[in-house]
Amino acid sequence: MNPRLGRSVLSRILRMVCTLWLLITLVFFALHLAPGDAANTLISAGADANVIAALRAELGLDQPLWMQYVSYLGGLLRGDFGLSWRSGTSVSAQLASAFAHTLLLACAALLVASVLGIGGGVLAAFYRNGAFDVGARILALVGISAPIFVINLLGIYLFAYKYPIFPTSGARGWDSLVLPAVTLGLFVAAMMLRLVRSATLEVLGQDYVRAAYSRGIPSRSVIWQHVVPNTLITVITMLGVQFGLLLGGSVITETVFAWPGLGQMTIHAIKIQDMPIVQGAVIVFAGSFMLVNFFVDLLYPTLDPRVEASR
Amino acid sequence: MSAGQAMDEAAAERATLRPQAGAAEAAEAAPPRSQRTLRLWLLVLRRPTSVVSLLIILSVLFLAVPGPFVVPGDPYKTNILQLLQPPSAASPLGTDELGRDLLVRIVHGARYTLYAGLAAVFIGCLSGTLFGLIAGYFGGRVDFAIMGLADVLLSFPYFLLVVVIVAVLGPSLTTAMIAIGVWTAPYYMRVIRANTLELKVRPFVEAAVISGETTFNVLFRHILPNCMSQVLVLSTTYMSQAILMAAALSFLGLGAQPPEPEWGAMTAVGREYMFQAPHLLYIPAAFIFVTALAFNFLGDALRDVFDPRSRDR
Repeated sequence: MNPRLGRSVLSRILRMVCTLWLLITLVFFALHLAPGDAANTLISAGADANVIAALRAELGLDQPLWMQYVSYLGGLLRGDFGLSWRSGTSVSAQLASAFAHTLLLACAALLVASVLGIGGGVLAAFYRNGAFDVGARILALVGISAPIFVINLLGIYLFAYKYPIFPTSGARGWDSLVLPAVTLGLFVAAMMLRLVRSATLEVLGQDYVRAAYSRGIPSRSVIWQHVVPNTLITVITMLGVQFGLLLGGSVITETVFAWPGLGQMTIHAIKIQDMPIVQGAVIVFAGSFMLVNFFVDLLYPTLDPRVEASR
Repeated sequence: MSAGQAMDEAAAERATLRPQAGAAEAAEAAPPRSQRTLRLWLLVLRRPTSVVSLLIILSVLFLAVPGPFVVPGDPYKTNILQLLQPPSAASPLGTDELGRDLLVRIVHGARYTLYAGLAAVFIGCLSGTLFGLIAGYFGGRVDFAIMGLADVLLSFPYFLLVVVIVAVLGPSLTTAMIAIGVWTAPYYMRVIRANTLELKVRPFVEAAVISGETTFNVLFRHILPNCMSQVLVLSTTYMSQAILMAAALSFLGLGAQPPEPEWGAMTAVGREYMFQAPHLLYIPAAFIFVTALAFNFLGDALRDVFDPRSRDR
């Protein structure tokens, strides 16, 4: 690693930390300016004023907003996401278990999406305007136009009801992972296929590919030595965005399949107005998305030295 | 399919029609803008898929505007004698769990869907374009601040920003629209900013500045019109995204609230009865799907013809 690369990595880390801090600040103040807090349900239940005051004191809600903000930031540095407004338990513990589930689902879905999206996209580009290409493109457009919950429910209808192979919901055993991962993967595969196809087409149209062919190099070598590595660059840069798509899609998929991940937790917390949980989940979501993009950025110059040279 | 062919034709058309910077004689030979736009639209309409898409969009528009008068009936009127009936002559799309007529509810729901899509795109397009123009044109600290904000918004994974905004403002269809609008804004910002950066050093803009035109005029009379094709392409694509997101939010219970006849909220109800009365699920789902598909096909066609360079974005 040369010193310039080191410096650019450092500046990117700094930038990421700044963006994350801005995001945390934005989310914190937005959620705390929303009307109502933990005491709301108690008030509507007609609880005693002393009980309400005690609860607010326990959760630190009686302090000025900026002090709450400072202590929240301080807690975050120690990995402490505060206490849930509803259950009074540690948000961090709940986040950790939910995050593990979401990560598992996201990785499985990414695998499905990559195989279908990259494989399909490359093949479609090779047989441009052929039957496979037209079919794949139409399927991809169908895939990005179908609401993800409809794909989820279709999966349940076909493979849990009509042909009961997999469980309809929950997270018990590997077989309960199949339906959510495949249906979520299909949704992302559709987006991926379109991007991979156009990236491959662009590489196929390059002079060096034509030159390789005209020098009489067998087409198998051209594909593996010229086309695939160059397409891979674009595919890797896209993975960051696709991961974001997966995380967002997992919010809906998890709710449909009652998968105990971050997404389901977020939606549930919004409905019962448990802001510390919403806040923590959003920060973890956005943080992991940023981290993936950061590593993609790091990988990029390694794959494509021209990027480093032009910087 | 002639998609690739149409794209090549579009490229050829652009090459002959669009004046290159600095090539004065080419600029003189070019027909006026309106004629050029018309010919590009004809290229879009040469594709069967875009014609079908336009027809679908017009049908949804028909359902939304005069539809409730053509198909009379109250979308909220329950009938306990007709629960969960499959499609029949009396009620062509069947009835729901409270005996309400599904056709009437679908027709009324078109209004919600179209309204949500249009409002969200309008909010995103207006604010995103405005901030993109300002950031690109003024540069410096203004640019830094605006694009910093855009970066923060873009660092939320897909759909999550929308969920957060709904969490703050409280679940309703209006909130969903605002949230989706805010989500699209940074994408407009980036594209319009890049375009403005490119345009502001072009001779016709410099000439306008030198001849003493106000900054307002330079931005909105000279730069903005040259960004319109990108705005059009983005808006069509985000229209389908906005419709899908609004439906997803309503499905999750964070958008339109039952008993409102919004298609996404209707699928949420349909989900509970999906094994007994699948029509409650697949009918509203099909309407969402077909509408989104139409906007996606049209968006693809518009992109190929009006903005071929941005295909990969």
